Amino acid sequence: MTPEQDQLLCRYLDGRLSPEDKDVLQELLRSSAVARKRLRLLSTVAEGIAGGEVVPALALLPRKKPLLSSLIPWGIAAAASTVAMAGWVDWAPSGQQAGRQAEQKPAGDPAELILALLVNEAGATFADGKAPDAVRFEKGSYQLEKGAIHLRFTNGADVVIKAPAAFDIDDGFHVRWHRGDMRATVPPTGHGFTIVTDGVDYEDLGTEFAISVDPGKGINTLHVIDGQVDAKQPGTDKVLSSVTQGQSVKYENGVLGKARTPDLSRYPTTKSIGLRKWHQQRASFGKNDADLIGYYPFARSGQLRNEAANPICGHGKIHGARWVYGRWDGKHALLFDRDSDFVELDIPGQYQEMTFSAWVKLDRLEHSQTSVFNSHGWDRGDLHWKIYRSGMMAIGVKGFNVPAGALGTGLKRVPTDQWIHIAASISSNTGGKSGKSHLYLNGELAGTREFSGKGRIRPGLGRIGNWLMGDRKDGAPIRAMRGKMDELAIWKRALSAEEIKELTQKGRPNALWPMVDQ
Amino acid sequence: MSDTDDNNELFLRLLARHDPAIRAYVRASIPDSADVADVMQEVSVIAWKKFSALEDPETGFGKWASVIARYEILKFRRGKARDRLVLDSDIIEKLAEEGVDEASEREHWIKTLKHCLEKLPQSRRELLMNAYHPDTSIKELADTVNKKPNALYQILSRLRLSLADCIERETAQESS
Repeated sequence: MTPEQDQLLCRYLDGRLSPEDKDVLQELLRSSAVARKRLRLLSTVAEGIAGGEVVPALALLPRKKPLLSSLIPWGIAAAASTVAMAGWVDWAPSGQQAGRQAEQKPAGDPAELILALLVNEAGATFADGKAPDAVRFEKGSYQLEKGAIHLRFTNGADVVIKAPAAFDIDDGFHVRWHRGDMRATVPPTGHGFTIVTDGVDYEDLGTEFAISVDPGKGINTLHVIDGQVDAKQPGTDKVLSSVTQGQSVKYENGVLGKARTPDLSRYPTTKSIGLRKWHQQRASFGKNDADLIGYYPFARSGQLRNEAANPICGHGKIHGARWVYGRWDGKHALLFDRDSDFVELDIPGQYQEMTFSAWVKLDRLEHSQTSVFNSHGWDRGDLHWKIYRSGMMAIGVKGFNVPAGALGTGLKRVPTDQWIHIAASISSNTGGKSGKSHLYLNGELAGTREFSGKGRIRPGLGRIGNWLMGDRKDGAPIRAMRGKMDELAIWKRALSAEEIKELTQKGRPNALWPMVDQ
Repeated sequence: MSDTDDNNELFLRLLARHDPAIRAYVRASIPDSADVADVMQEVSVIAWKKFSALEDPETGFGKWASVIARYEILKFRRGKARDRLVLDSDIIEKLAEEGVDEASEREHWIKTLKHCLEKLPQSRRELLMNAYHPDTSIKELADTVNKKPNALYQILSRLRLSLADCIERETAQESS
């Protein structure tokens, strides 16, 4: 085979044959078994590179039963629990918990032993000997001393518990409630989920409800927020009362009767746990880090306020972007959904190294490039952090030259429709060291790139979620973001991969993220 | 688990294992990847219906599925006779017929390809993987790497040819 013939085969596989090419190719393939074999080999190379990522044919085939994970998030959650545990170790509050992690587990499928998973927590501390195994709750007694937790049971029920609370998990459908407040949201797969108290069994019939138990006074109360719960005589099927939406009952002195509606704000929701945790972190974010020059927690205000201890970056001026909710209800974010939406930000000074970190939820990548932060124009020292329509992320500084054909992003593509953490660090070419950038997606390295050329990073005035092109000519003049951002941080040094990972772990929407987004 | 369940599982497993090789076989005759996907859907449905008649699935699945794919390629060719990119039927028949007998060799090519890919510099490997990602348009990728699309096609062609040479070299060494 000649090089020209090889190129001809490649053009055929790329769909770029001219009519003349086609005639030459047909003649070649008609007369040469070697050429035909070479074509089959080249098509194998092309498919082999692309292959392994998608097997759409499998999706067409009939399945004998639906996948568990398509019924409830539990299937995903159980699969994710091992991964989640790795990131949860930092949180483990007591020596007791660490000790339990070291215990030998019985052989068998771990998912079969788990009755509930810890989806999220805020400041949670358990009593010694009454703590979960990292994120896993098995049959046993638990005592929450501080904070709040969100559990997801195998039947799909979400239970939010506020300290102080004590309970026993008997099995996937029976929880014995000794003390404290809880709120449960139960999907159809969890019908029959029962909270057992002294005096009454509360059996769910598909609903959202809240229960409080005060052992000191011998009182327990039920309020049904939505649907229906049957209050039954313990251990029997005898229904004492069917409680429906908006109704409350109280068990006191051995008698079950009607009760006034409690203050529902005392029962935390699944999303309020994440928010509570975030508020704790916001107060301490980069407190002793003089290199943190911009920290924007996106607290609702007329401007995007910089709360960094060393606030070299200015406050952001909001143009068009609107305040909405972010990772959790109550946590604000800015929505960018028009070409005219952006936040103008000034990053004065010049730097050898910088790092940017942001939490975003992109609706779509509408333009060929989407700006995360782009300096105005593109003059020496300007910085552009952006995402291509293909989902590939890039960061560059004018004057830092990239080797021809090199990609900065690796294989990780930025997904849409879910909260993600993106980060980028960049270092200039100084002291004999070549310049380098690192890109991160959800705490994992997504790509690195080396640069030649010298100079400092001078971002200056720029836009979050957009780009002011100025009088340049550019193939991608409109870089408007379509989505939300609810946190941004800027450092004047290159953070390590470990630091980026820690940032991601601290800010993740829940303990099972990114497997489970909400 | 019933015999039917066992059969279902076996079919899914074999199809998943052989899918890249069958897809590669189809691609030689039908260069457009969307058309390849259509043909592969037909192949998988027919293979599913006929699977119970296959006597030795573990060893014979690749070639057997290639025979089904050959029939579907020819059927597709008849429906696209006027397409600019579709080759004459006599050439398609030769490509498809010879390809059926290469089923096991093709699987070996795919395994060797992984080894050859590892030998490429990381930046080149990433460029290739991105270029052949189902969601990638060459124009967008060309923008990303500051190249004109034609220049990027040239780079990608050279990389694919070097991989094909690598596979041929390694296969020849193994058989010598």
